[in-house]
Amino acid sequence: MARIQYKPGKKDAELLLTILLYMVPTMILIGVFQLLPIVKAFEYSFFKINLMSGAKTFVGFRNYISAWNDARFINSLVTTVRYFLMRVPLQVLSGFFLALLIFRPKRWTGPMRTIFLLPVITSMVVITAILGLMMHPTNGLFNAVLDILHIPPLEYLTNPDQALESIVFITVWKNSGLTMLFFLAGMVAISPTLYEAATIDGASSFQKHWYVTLPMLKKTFAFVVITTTIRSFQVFGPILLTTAGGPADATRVVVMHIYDNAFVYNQMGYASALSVVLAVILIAVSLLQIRGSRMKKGGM
Amino acid sequence: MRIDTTDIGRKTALYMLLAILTILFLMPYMWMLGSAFKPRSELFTYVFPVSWKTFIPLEPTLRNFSRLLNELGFMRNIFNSLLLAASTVTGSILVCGMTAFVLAMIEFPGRRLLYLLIMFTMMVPFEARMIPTFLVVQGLGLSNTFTALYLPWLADAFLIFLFTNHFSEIPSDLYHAAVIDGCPHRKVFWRIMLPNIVPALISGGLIKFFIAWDAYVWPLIILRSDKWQVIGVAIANLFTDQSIEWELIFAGSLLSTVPIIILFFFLQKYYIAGMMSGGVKE
Repeated sequence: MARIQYKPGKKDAELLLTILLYMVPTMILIGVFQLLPIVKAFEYSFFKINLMSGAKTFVGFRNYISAWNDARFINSLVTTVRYFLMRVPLQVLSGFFLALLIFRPKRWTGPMRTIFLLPVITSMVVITAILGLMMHPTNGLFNAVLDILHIPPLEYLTNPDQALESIVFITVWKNSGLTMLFFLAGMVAISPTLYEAATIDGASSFQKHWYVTLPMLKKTFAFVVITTTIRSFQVFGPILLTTAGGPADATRVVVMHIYDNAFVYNQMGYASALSVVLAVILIAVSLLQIRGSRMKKGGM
Repeated sequence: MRIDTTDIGRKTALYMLLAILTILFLMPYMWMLGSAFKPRSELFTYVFPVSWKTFIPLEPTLRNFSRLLNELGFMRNIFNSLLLAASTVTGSILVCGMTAFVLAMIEFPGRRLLYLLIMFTMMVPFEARMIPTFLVVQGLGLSNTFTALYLPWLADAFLIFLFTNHFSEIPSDLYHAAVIDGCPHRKVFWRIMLPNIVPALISGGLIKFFIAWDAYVWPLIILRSDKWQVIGVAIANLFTDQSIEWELIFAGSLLSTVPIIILFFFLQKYYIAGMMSGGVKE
Protein backbone atom coordinates (compact mmCIF):
# COMPACT_ATOMS: atom_id res chain seq x y z
CA MET A 1 0.00 0.00 0.00
CA ALA A 2 1.17 3.51 -0.77
CA ARG A 3 1.66 6.49 1.51
CA ILE A 4 -1.26 8.12 3.27
CA GLN A 5 -2.65 10.65 0.77
CA TYR A 6 -3.62 14.20 1.45
CA LYS A 7 -5.52 15.92 -1.34
CA PRO A 8 -6.47 19.58 -1.02
CA GLY A 9 -10.23 19.96 -0.92
CA LYS A 10 -10.67 16.57 0.68
CA LYS A 11 -12.32 17.21 4.00
CA ASP A 12 -9.66 15.81 6.29
CA ALA A 13 -8.84 18.67 8.62
CA GLU A 14 -7.05 16.45 11.10
CA LEU A 15 -4.56 15.22 8.50
CA LEU A 16 -3.94 18.76 7.23
CA LEU A 17 -3.42 19.95 10.81
CA THR A 18 -0.94 17.13 11.42
CA ILE A 19 1.06 18.00 8.31
CA LEU A 20 1.19 21.67 9.28
CA LEU A 21 1.92 21.03 12.95
CA TYR A 22 4.79 18.69 12.15
CA MET A 23 6.29 20.60 9.21
CA VAL A 24 6.06 24.20 10.39
CA PRO A 25 8.70 24.16 13.19
CA THR A 26 11.36 22.79 10.85
CA MET A 27 10.41 25.12 8.03
CA ILE A 28 10.54 28.19 10.30
CA LEU A 29 13.91 27.18 11.77
CA ILE A 30 15.39 26.35 8.37
CA GLY A 31 13.93 29.52 6.91
CA VAL A 32 15.22 31.83 9.63
CA PHE A 33 18.61 30.29 10.39
CA GLN A 34 19.68 28.74 7.08
CA LEU A 35 17.84 30.17 4.08
CA LEU A 36 17.45 33.74 5.31
CA PRO A 37 21.20 34.09 6.04
CA ILE A 38 21.97 32.94 2.48
CA VAL A 39 19.63 35.59 1.08
CA LYS A 40 20.96 38.17 3.54
CA ALA A 41 24.58 37.40 2.64
CA PHE A 42 23.70 38.20 -0.95
CA GLU A 43 21.99 41.44 0.08
CA TYR A 44 24.72 42.56 2.52
CA SER A 45 27.39 41.91 -0.10
CA PHE A 46 26.22 45.07 -1.92
CA PHE A 47 26.59 47.24 1.18
CA LYS A 48 29.27 48.73 3.35
CA ILE A 49 28.23 47.92 6.90
CA ASN A 50 29.59 49.39 10.11
CA LEU A 51 28.48 47.30 13.08
CA MET A 52 29.48 49.91 15.65
CA SER A 53 27.51 52.80 14.20
CA GLY A 54 24.93 50.65 12.41
CA ALA A 55 25.53 52.59 9.18
CA LYS A 56 24.70 50.77 5.96
CA THR A 57 25.67 52.28 2.60
CA PHE A 58 24.88 50.82 -0.80
CA VAL A 59 28.10 50.28 -2.77
CA GLY A 60 26.96 48.16 -5.71
CA PHE A 61 29.51 45.64 -6.88
CA ARG A 62 32.38 47.38 -5.12
CA ASN A 63 32.85 44.59 -2.53
CA TYR A 64 33.23 42.03 -5.31
CA ILE A 65 35.66 44.26 -7.20
CA SER A 66 37.65 44.74 -3.98
CA ALA A 67 37.74 40.96 -3.51
CA TRP A 68 39.16 40.55 -7.00
CA ASN A 69 41.86 43.11 -6.18
CA ASP A 70 42.49 41.88 -2.62
CA ALA A 71 45.85 40.11 -2.85
CA ARG A 72 45.34 38.55 0.58
CA PHE A 73 41.99 37.09 -0.49
CA ILE A 74 43.44 35.64 -3.71
CA ASN A 75 46.29 34.30 -1.61
CA SER A 76 43.76 32.75 0.81
CA LEU A 77 42.11 30.98 -2.14
CA VAL A 78 45.50 29.64 -3.21
CA THR A 79 46.24 28.52 0.37
CA THR A 80 42.87 26.78 0.60
CA VAL A 81 43.52 24.95 -2.67
CA ARG A 82 46.98 23.93 -1.45
CA TYR A 83 45.41 22.65 1.77
CA PHE A 84 42.80 20.74 -0.24
CA LEU A 85 45.47 19.22 -2.52
CA MET A 86 47.37 17.88 0.49
CA ARG A 87 44.45 16.83 2.67
CA VAL A 88 42.19 15.00 0.23
CA PRO A 89 44.69 12.39 -1.04
CA LEU A 90 46.15 11.89 2.45
CA GLN A 91 42.81 11.45 4.18
CA VAL A 92 41.27 9.30 1.44
CA LEU A 93 44.29 7.00 1.25
CA SER A 94 44.73 6.65 5.01
CA GLY A 95 40.99 6.06 5.46
CA PHE A 96 41.05 3.41 2.73
CA PHE A 97 44.13 1.79 4.23
CA LEU A 98 42.59 1.64 7.73
CA ALA A 99 39.40 0.16 6.29
CA LEU A 100 41.36 -2.54 4.43
CA LEU A 101 43.15 -3.38 7.66
CA ILE A 102 40.02 -4.05 9.73
CA PHE A 103 37.56 -5.01 7.01
CA ARG A 104 37.74 -8.77 7.71
CA PRO A 105 36.52 -9.55 11.23
CA LYS A 106 39.32 -10.77 13.50
CA ARG A 107 39.71 -10.71 17.24
CA TRP A 108 41.40 -7.30 17.16
CA THR A 109 39.26 -5.50 14.59
CA GLY A 110 36.71 -4.25 17.14
CA PRO A 111 39.23 -2.57 19.47
CA MET A 112 41.24 -1.19 16.53
CA ARG A 113 38.10 0.33 15.01
CA THR A 114 37.32 2.00 18.33
CA ILE A 115 40.88 3.39 18.51
CA PHE A 116 40.67 4.80 14.96
CA LEU A 117 37.33 6.44 15.79
CA LEU A 118 38.46 8.11 19.03
CA PRO A 119 39.85 11.22 17.27
CA VAL A 120 36.62 11.49 15.25
CA ILE A 121 34.44 11.82 18.35
CA THR A 122 36.90 13.80 20.48
CA SER A 123 36.17 17.49 20.18
CA MET A 124 38.11 19.50 17.61
CA VAL A 125 39.30 21.99 20.24
CA VAL A 126 40.83 19.23 22.39
CA ILE A 127 42.53 17.51 19.44
CA THR A 128 43.92 20.78 18.14
CA ALA A 129 45.12 21.88 21.57
CA ILE A 130 46.85 18.59 22.41
CA LEU A 131 48.42 18.13 18.96
CA GLY A 132 49.31 21.82 19.00
CA LEU A 133 51.24 21.30 22.24
CA MET A 134 52.83 18.14 20.84
CA MET A 135 54.07 20.31 17.97
CA HIS A 136 55.69 22.87 20.26
CA PRO A 137 59.25 23.34 18.94
CA THR A 138 61.04 23.14 22.30
CA ASN A 139 58.69 21.38 24.74
CA GLY A 140 56.63 19.25 22.34
CA LEU A 141 56.44 15.49 22.24
CA PHE A 142 56.91 15.21 18.47
CA ASN A 143 60.39 16.70 18.50
CA ALA A 144 61.26 14.52 21.49
CA VAL A 145 60.26 11.44 19.45
CA LEU A 146 62.18 12.71 16.39
CA ASP A 147 65.18 13.16 18.69
CA ILE A 148 65.14 9.43 19.52
CA LEU A 149 65.06 8.64 15.81
CA HIS A 150 67.97 11.08 15.24
CA ILE A 151 65.84 13.30 13.00
CA PRO A 152 66.45 17.06 13.33
CA PRO A 153 63.62 18.95 15.07
CA LEU A 154 60.84 20.70 13.13
CA GLU A 155 59.17 24.02 13.84
CA TYR A 156 55.64 23.01 12.83
CA LEU A 157 53.05 25.78 13.32
CA THR A 158 55.65 28.48 13.94
CA ASN A 159 57.37 28.10 10.56
CA PRO A 160 55.62 29.48 7.44
CA ASP A 161 56.92 26.53 5.40
CA GLN A 162 55.56 23.92 7.82
CA ALA A 163 52.43 25.53 9.26
CA LEU A 164 49.89 24.52 6.60
CA GLU A 165 51.31 20.98 6.55
CA SER A 166 50.88 20.86 10.33
CA ILE A 167 47.23 21.85 10.00
CA VAL A 168 46.82 19.11 7.36
CA PHE A 169 48.32 16.62 9.79
CA ILE A 170 45.94 17.64 12.60
CA THR A 171 42.81 17.43 10.44
CA VAL A 172 43.80 14.19 8.69
CA TRP A 173 44.69 12.58 12.01
CA LYS A 174 41.30 13.57 13.38
CA ASN A 175 39.20 12.56 10.37
CA SER A 176 40.78 9.50 8.75
CA GLY A 177 38.66 7.24 11.01
CA LEU A 178 35.53 8.80 9.58
CA THR A 179 36.71 8.16 6.01
CA MET A 180 37.45 4.60 7.12
CA LEU A 181 33.80 4.19 8.16
CA PHE A 182 32.57 5.24 4.70
CA PHE A 183 34.92 2.77 3.04
CA LEU A 184 33.84 0.01 5.43
CA ALA A 185 30.22 0.71 4.47
CA GLY A 186 31.22 0.26 0.82
CA MET A 187 33.25 -2.88 1.47
CA VAL A 188 30.48 -4.60 3.43
CA ALA A 189 28.32 -4.26 0.30
CA ILE A 190 30.78 -6.18 -1.92
CA SER A 191 29.54 -9.72 -2.51
CA PRO A 192 31.87 -12.36 -0.96
CA THR A 193 31.38 -14.58 -4.03
CA LEU A 194 33.60 -12.18 -5.99
CA TYR A 195 36.47 -12.87 -3.60
CA GLU A 196 35.77 -16.62 -3.70
CA ALA A 197 35.91 -16.56 -7.50
CA ALA A 198 39.20 -14.65 -7.36
CA THR A 199 40.63 -17.19 -4.89
CA ILE A 200 39.67 -20.06 -7.22
CA ASP A 201 41.43 -18.21 -10.05
CA GLY A 202 44.53 -18.14 -7.87
CA ALA A 203 44.64 -14.39 -7.17
CA SER A 204 47.00 -13.13 -4.46
CA SER A 205 45.51 -10.93 -1.76
CA PHE A 206 47.00 -7.84 -3.46
CA GLN A 207 45.43 -8.88 -6.79
CA LYS A 208 42.08 -9.45 -5.07
CA HIS A 209 42.05 -5.90 -3.78
CA TRP A 210 43.30 -4.47 -7.11
CA TYR A 211 40.78 -6.31 -9.29
CA VAL A 212 37.80 -6.66 -6.90
CA THR A 213 37.87 -4.17 -4.01
CA LEU A 214 39.02 -1.07 -5.89
CA PRO A 215 36.63 -1.30 -8.88
CA MET A 216 33.70 -2.12 -6.60
CA LEU A 217 34.40 0.94 -4.46
CA LYS A 218 34.32 3.51 -7.29
CA LYS A 219 31.15 5.12 -5.94
CA THR A 220 32.50 5.22 -2.39
CA PHE A 221 35.72 6.84 -3.61
CA ALA A 222 33.73 9.49 -5.48
CA PHE A 223 31.60 10.20 -2.39
CA VAL A 224 34.58 10.38 -0.05
CA VAL A 225 36.63 12.60 -2.36
CA ILE A 226 33.77 15.08 -2.82
CA THR A 227 32.82 15.28 0.86
CA THR A 228 36.46 15.67 1.91
CA THR A 229 36.85 18.36 -0.74
CA ILE A 230 33.89 20.28 0.70
CA ARG A 231 35.30 19.93 4.20
CA SER A 232 38.70 21.17 2.97
CA PHE A 233 37.15 24.37 1.65
CA GLN A 234 35.46 25.07 5.00
CA VAL A 235 38.49 24.38 7.24
CA PHE A 236 38.61 26.98 9.97
CA GLY A 237 38.44 25.91 13.64
CA PRO A 238 41.92 24.39 13.97
CA ILE A 239 43.46 27.42 12.23
CA LEU A 240 41.64 30.03 14.33
CA LEU A 241 42.76 28.13 17.41
CA THR A 242 46.44 27.72 16.57
CA THR A 243 47.89 30.21 14.08
CA ALA A 244 44.93 32.53 13.37
CA GLY A 245 46.18 32.69 9.78
CA GLY A 246 49.87 33.20 10.49
CA PRO A 247 52.80 32.96 10.42
CA ALA A 248 53.16 35.37 7.49
CA ASP A 249 49.66 34.42 6.24
CA ALA A 250 50.86 30.84 5.64
CA THR A 251 47.61 29.39 7.02
CA ARG A 252 45.24 32.18 5.96
CA VAL A 253 42.49 30.12 4.33
CA VAL A 254 39.29 31.61 2.89
CA VAL A 255 37.16 31.27 6.05
CA MET A 256 39.96 32.76 8.16
CA HIS A 257 40.02 35.80 5.86
CA ILE A 258 36.22 36.09 6.06
CA TYR A 259 36.35 35.92 9.86
CA ASP A 260 39.07 38.58 10.11
CA ASN A 261 37.23 40.95 7.80
CA ALA A 262 34.03 40.53 9.80
CA PHE A 263 35.26 40.56 13.37
CA VAL A 264 38.70 42.14 13.30
CA TYR A 265 38.51 44.73 10.46
CA ASN A 266 34.76 45.33 10.99
CA GLN A 267 33.96 44.96 7.26
CA MET A 268 30.69 42.98 7.45
CA GLY A 269 29.59 43.84 3.90
CA TYR A 270 32.89 42.78 2.41
CA ALA A 271 32.92 39.61 4.56
CA SER A 272 29.42 38.85 3.22
CA ALA A 273 30.63 39.19 -0.36
CA LEU A 274 33.47 36.76 0.37
CA SER A 275 30.95 34.36 1.99
CA VAL A 276 28.88 34.45 -1.21
CA VAL A 277 31.97 33.54 -3.24
CA LEU A 278 32.71 30.63 -0.88
CA ALA A 279 29.07 29.46 -0.97
CA VAL A 280 29.09 29.48 -4.77
CA ILE A 281 32.26 27.33 -4.80
CA LEU A 282 30.75 24.87 -2.31
CA ILE A 283 27.43 24.63 -4.15
CA ALA A 284 29.33 23.96 -7.39
CA VAL A 285 31.23 21.08 -5.76
CA SER A 286 27.97 19.66 -4.34
CA LEU A 287 26.27 19.81 -7.74
CA LEU A 288 29.24 17.93 -9.17
CA GLN A 289 28.61 15.21 -6.59
CA ILE A 290 24.89 15.01 -7.42
CA ARG A 291 25.66 14.82 -11.15
CA GLY A 292 28.29 12.17 -10.51
CA SER A 293 25.98 9.95 -8.45
CA ARG A 294 23.18 10.33 -11.06
CA MET A 295 25.54 9.23 -13.83
CA LYS A 296 26.66 6.20 -11.83
CA LYS A 297 23.05 5.17 -11.24
CA GLY A 298 22.24 5.53 -14.93
CA GLY A 299 25.24 3.43 -15.87
CA MET A 300 24.46 0.49 -13.64
CA MET B 1 46.07 -23.97 7.66
CA ARG B 2 49.76 -24.74 7.15
CA ILE B 3 52.05 -22.71 9.31
CA ASP B 4 55.34 -21.85 7.68
CA THR B 5 57.93 -19.15 8.12
CA THR B 6 56.41 -16.67 5.64
CA ASP B 7 53.15 -16.94 7.54
CA ILE B 8 54.88 -16.14 10.83
CA GLY B 9 56.77 -13.28 9.17
CA ARG B 10 53.56 -11.85 7.82
CA LYS B 11 51.87 -12.12 11.21
CA THR B 12 54.76 -10.34 12.90
CA ALA B 13 54.68 -7.54 10.34
CA LEU B 14 50.93 -7.18 10.81
CA TYR B 15 51.20 -6.95 14.58
CA MET B 16 54.05 -4.46 14.29
CA LEU B 17 51.86 -2.34 12.03
CA LEU B 18 48.94 -2.53 14.46
CA ALA B 19 51.24 -1.55 17.33
CA ILE B 20 52.59 1.47 15.44
CA LEU B 21 49.07 2.61 14.50
CA THR B 22 47.88 2.16 18.09
CA ILE B 23 50.75 4.32 19.34
CA LEU B 24 50.12 6.92 16.62
CA PHE B 25 46.44 7.17 17.55
CA LEU B 26 46.71 6.85 21.33
CA MET B 27 49.86 8.82 22.12
CA PRO B 28 48.09 12.21 22.38
CA TYR B 29 45.54 10.67 24.74
CA MET B 30 48.25 9.08 26.91
CA TRP B 31 50.16 12.35 27.09
CA MET B 32 46.98 14.22 27.99
CA LEU B 33 46.02 11.65 30.63
CA GLY B 34 49.41 11.61 32.34
CA SER B 35 50.07 15.33 32.13
CA ALA B 36 46.67 16.30 33.54
CA PHE B 37 47.81 14.92 36.91
CA LYS B 38 51.31 16.45 36.85
CA PRO B 39 52.51 19.56 38.62
CA ARG B 40 53.95 22.04 36.14
CA SER B 41 57.56 21.52 37.22
CA GLU B 42 57.31 17.86 36.25
CA LEU B 43 55.55 18.57 32.96
CA PHE B 44 58.46 20.21 31.20
CA THR B 45 61.24 18.21 32.86
CA TYR B 46 60.54 14.83 31.34
CA VAL B 47 59.70 15.51 27.70
CA PHE B 48 63.32 15.35 26.47
CA PRO B 49 64.33 12.53 26.29
CA VAL B 50 61.05 10.62 26.00
CA SER B 51 60.65 7.95 28.67
CA TRP B 52 57.88 6.49 30.80
CA LYS B 53 58.24 9.60 32.96
CA THR B 54 56.82 11.61 30.05
CA PHE B 55 53.51 9.85 30.44
CA ILE B 56 53.30 8.84 34.12
CA PRO B 57 53.18 11.51 36.84
CA LEU B 58 55.76 10.89 39.57
CA GLU B 59 53.86 12.99 42.08
CA PRO B 60 50.25 12.86 40.91
CA THR B 61 48.16 15.85 41.91
CA LEU B 62 44.53 16.90 41.55
CA ARG B 63 45.43 20.56 41.87
CA ASN B 64 45.00 21.21 38.14
CA PHE B 65 41.42 20.03 38.30
CA SER B 66 40.61 21.92 41.48
CA ARG B 67 42.05 25.11 39.98
CA LEU B 68 39.96 24.69 36.82
CA LEU B 69 36.74 23.88 38.63
CA ASN B 70 37.06 26.22 41.61
CA GLU B 71 39.05 29.18 40.36
CA LEU B 72 38.55 29.30 36.59
CA GLY B 73 34.83 28.60 36.37
CA PHE B 74 35.02 25.30 34.46
CA MET B 75 32.09 23.98 36.47
CA ARG B 76 29.86 26.54 34.79
CA ASN B 77 31.32 25.80 31.34
CA ILE B 78 30.71 22.06 31.75
CA PHE B 79 27.18 22.68 32.97
CA ASN B 80 26.51 24.98 30.00
CA SER B 81 27.85 22.42 27.55
CA LEU B 82 25.71 19.68 29.09
CA LEU B 83 22.66 21.92 28.92
CA LEU B 84 23.47 22.86 25.33
CA ALA B 85 23.93 19.21 24.33
CA ALA B 86 20.71 18.15 26.09
CA SER B 87 18.68 20.97 24.48
CA THR B 88 20.14 20.33 21.05
CA VAL B 89 19.62 16.56 21.21
CA THR B 90 16.02 16.60 22.48
CA GLY B 91 15.02 19.58 20.36
CA SER B 92 16.49 18.29 17.13
CA ILE B 93 15.16 14.74 17.55
CA LEU B 94 11.69 16.16 18.13
CA VAL B 95 11.70 18.72 15.33
CA CYS B 96 13.46 16.55 12.75
CA GLY B 97 11.53 13.42 13.73
CA MET B 98 8.16 15.12 13.19
CA THR B 99 9.22 16.46 9.82
CA ALA B 100 10.75 13.17 8.70
CA PHE B 101 7.54 11.36 9.65
CA VAL B 102 5.41 13.62 7.45
CA LEU B 103 7.90 13.57 4.55
CA ALA B 104 8.23 9.79 4.61
CA MET B 105 4.67 8.69 5.28
CA ILE B 106 2.23 11.29 3.95
CA GLU B 107 1.80 12.32 0.31
CA PHE B 108 0.76 15.95 -0.09
CA PRO B 109 1.24 18.67 -2.72
CA GLY B 110 4.71 20.20 -2.39
CA ARG B 111 6.22 17.29 -0.46
CA ARG B 112 9.14 16.77 -2.86
CA LEU B 113 9.79 20.49 -3.08
CA LEU B 114 10.04 20.84 0.71
CA TYR B 115 12.32 17.80 0.90
CA LEU B 116 14.65 19.26 -1.75
CA LEU B 117 14.63 22.63 -0.02
CA ILE B 118 15.71 20.98 3.25
CA MET B 119 18.41 18.96 1.51
CA PHE B 120 19.66 22.12 -0.24
CA THR B 121 20.72 23.53 3.15
CA MET B 122 23.34 20.76 3.35
CA MET B 123 25.13 22.35 0.41
CA VAL B 124 25.93 25.59 2.22
CA PRO B 125 27.76 24.63 5.42
CA PHE B 126 27.97 26.79 8.52
CA GLU B 127 31.37 28.30 7.67
CA ALA B 128 29.93 29.89 4.52
CA ARG B 129 26.87 31.17 6.42
CA MET B 130 28.74 32.25 9.54
CA ILE B 131 28.69 36.02 8.98
CA PRO B 132 25.07 36.43 7.79
CA THR B 133 23.81 33.98 10.44
CA PHE B 134 25.58 36.07 13.06
CA LEU B 135 23.92 39.21 11.69
CA VAL B 136 20.47 37.59 11.53
CA VAL B 137 20.69 36.24 15.10
CA GLN B 138 21.93 39.61 16.30
CA GLY B 139 19.06 41.30 14.44
CA LEU B 140 16.62 39.06 16.30
CA GLY B 141 18.09 40.37 19.55
CA LEU B 142 19.31 36.90 20.51
CA SER B 143 23.05 37.48 20.70
CA ASN B 144 24.52 36.70 24.11
CA THR B 145 21.61 34.39 24.99
CA PHE B 146 21.46 30.64 25.55
CA THR B 147 18.70 30.42 22.93
CA ALA B 148 21.14 31.61 20.26
CA LEU B 149 23.44 28.71 21.14
CA TYR B 150 21.03 25.89 20.28
CA LEU B 151 18.10 27.26 18.26
CA PRO B 152 19.97 27.58 14.91
CA TRP B 153 21.12 23.95 15.20
CA LEU B 154 17.78 22.20 15.76
CA ALA B 155 16.54 21.80 12.18
CA ASP B 156 19.22 19.58 10.67
CA ALA B 157 19.02 18.24 7.13
CA PHE B 158 21.21 15.26 7.99
CA LEU B 159 18.94 14.11 10.82
CA ILE B 160 15.84 14.62 8.66
CA PHE B 161 17.53 12.55 5.93
CA LEU B 162 18.45 9.80 8.43
CA PHE B 163 15.01 9.65 10.04
CA THR B 164 13.15 9.86 6.70
CA ASN B 165 15.09 6.83 5.47
CA HIS B 166 14.16 4.86 8.56
CA PHE B 167 10.49 5.89 8.49
CA SER B 168 10.36 4.85 4.82
CA GLU B 169 11.27 1.30 5.78
CA ILE B 170 8.17 0.96 7.94
CA PRO B 171 5.36 -0.63 5.85
CA SER B 172 2.59 1.91 5.34
CA ASP B 173 0.05 -0.85 6.05
CA LEU B 174 0.83 -0.16 9.67
CA TYR B 175 -0.26 3.45 9.23
CA HIS B 176 -3.41 2.52 7.29
CA ALA B 177 -4.36 -0.05 9.93
CA ALA B 178 -3.94 2.54 12.69
CA VAL B 179 -6.17 4.99 10.83
CA ILE B 180 -8.84 2.33 10.34
CA ASP B 181 -8.67 1.61 14.08
CA GLY B 182 -9.49 5.27 14.63
CA CYS B 183 -6.09 6.56 15.68
CA PRO B 184 -5.81 10.25 14.75
CA HIS B 185 -2.91 11.09 12.39
CA ARG B 186 -1.06 13.25 14.89
CA LYS B 187 -0.99 10.37 17.37
CA VAL B 188 0.21 7.77 14.85
CA PHE B 189 3.59 9.49 15.05
CA TRP B 190 3.95 9.20 18.82
CA ARG B 191 2.26 5.86 19.40
CA ILE B 192 3.32 3.77 16.43
CA MET B 193 6.02 5.32 14.27
CA LEU B 194 8.47 6.88 16.74
CA PRO B 195 8.93 3.66 18.78
CA ASN B 196 9.77 1.89 15.50
CA ILE B 197 12.87 3.94 14.76
CA VAL B 198 14.44 4.13 18.23
CA PRO B 199 17.87 2.93 17.00
CA ALA B 200 17.95 5.74 14.41
CA LEU B 201 16.89 8.22 17.10
CA ILE B 202 19.82 7.11 19.26
CA SER B 203 22.21 7.40 16.27
CA GLY B 204 20.99 10.87 15.41
CA GLY B 205 20.93 12.00 19.03
CA LEU B 206 24.47 10.78 19.62
CA ILE B 207 25.79 12.51 16.51
CA LYS B 208 24.07 15.72 17.60
CA PHE B 209 25.49 15.35 21.12
CA PHE B 210 29.05 15.15 19.79
CA ILE B 211 28.50 18.18 17.53
CA ALA B 212 27.01 20.22 20.40
CA TRP B 213 29.81 19.23 22.78
CA ASP B 214 32.30 20.29 20.09
CA ALA B 215 30.81 23.80 19.78
CA TYR B 216 33.55 26.41 19.47
CA VAL B 217 33.32 29.00 16.68
CA TRP B 218 29.60 29.78 17.05
CA PRO B 219 29.61 30.36 20.85
CA LEU B 220 32.84 32.32 20.45
CA ILE B 221 31.25 34.84 18.10
CA ILE B 222 27.68 34.98 19.42
CA LEU B 223 28.41 35.21 23.19
CA ARG B 224 30.10 38.25 24.67
CA SER B 225 29.90 37.36 28.36
CA ASP B 226 31.01 34.28 30.26
CA LYS B 227 27.57 33.43 31.58
CA TRP B 228 26.68 30.81 28.95
CA GLN B 229 30.16 30.09 27.66
CA VAL B 230 30.84 26.42 26.80
CA ILE B 231 33.75 24.11 27.55
CA GLY B 232 35.19 24.24 24.01
CA VAL B 233 35.72 28.00 24.22
CA ALA B 234 37.05 27.72 27.80
CA ILE B 235 39.75 25.25 26.69
CA ALA B 236 40.48 27.34 23.60
CA ASN B 237 40.99 30.39 25.84
CA LEU B 238 43.53 28.51 27.96
CA PHE B 239 45.31 27.51 24.75
CA THR B 240 45.31 30.82 22.92
CA ASP B 241 46.49 32.75 25.99
CA GLN B 242 49.95 31.46 25.05
CA SER B 243 50.41 30.80 28.73
CA ILE B 244 52.78 28.19 30.04
CA GLU B 245 50.04 26.63 32.15
CA TRP B 246 49.94 23.57 29.94
CA GLU B 247 48.84 21.39 32.85
CA LEU B 248 45.53 23.27 32.88
CA ILE B 249 45.03 22.67 29.14
CA PHE B 250 45.64 18.96 29.67
CA ALA B 251 43.31 18.76 32.67
CA GLY B 252 40.58 20.73 30.89
CA SER B 253 40.90 18.58 27.78
CA LEU B 254 40.62 15.45 29.89
CA LEU B 255 37.48 16.77 31.62
CA SER B 256 35.97 17.45 28.20
CA THR B 257 36.97 14.11 26.68
CA VAL B 258 36.03 11.62 29.40
CA PRO B 259 32.23 11.98 29.09
CA ILE B 260 32.49 11.72 25.30
CA ILE B 261 34.54 8.53 25.45
CA ILE B 262 32.23 6.92 28.02
CA LEU B 263 29.20 7.73 25.88
CA PHE B 264 30.92 6.43 22.76
CA PHE B 265 32.06 3.26 24.51
CA PHE B 266 28.49 2.25 25.31
CA LEU B 267 26.72 3.51 22.19
CA GLN B 268 29.34 3.16 19.44
CA LYS B 269 27.32 0.71 17.34
CA TYR B 270 24.58 3.35 17.00
CA TYR B 271 27.12 6.00 16.06
CA ILE B 272 28.71 3.72 13.45
CA ALA B 273 25.33 2.70 12.02
CA GLY B 274 24.22 6.33 11.77
CA MET B 275 27.42 7.48 10.10
CA MET B 276 27.57 4.52 7.72
CA SER B 277 24.01 4.98 6.49
CA GLY B 278 25.05 7.80 4.19
CA GLY B 279 26.58 10.15 6.74
CA VAL B 280 27.48 13.38 5.05
CA LYS B 281 28.41 15.49 8.01
CA GLU B 282 31.28 15.10 10.39
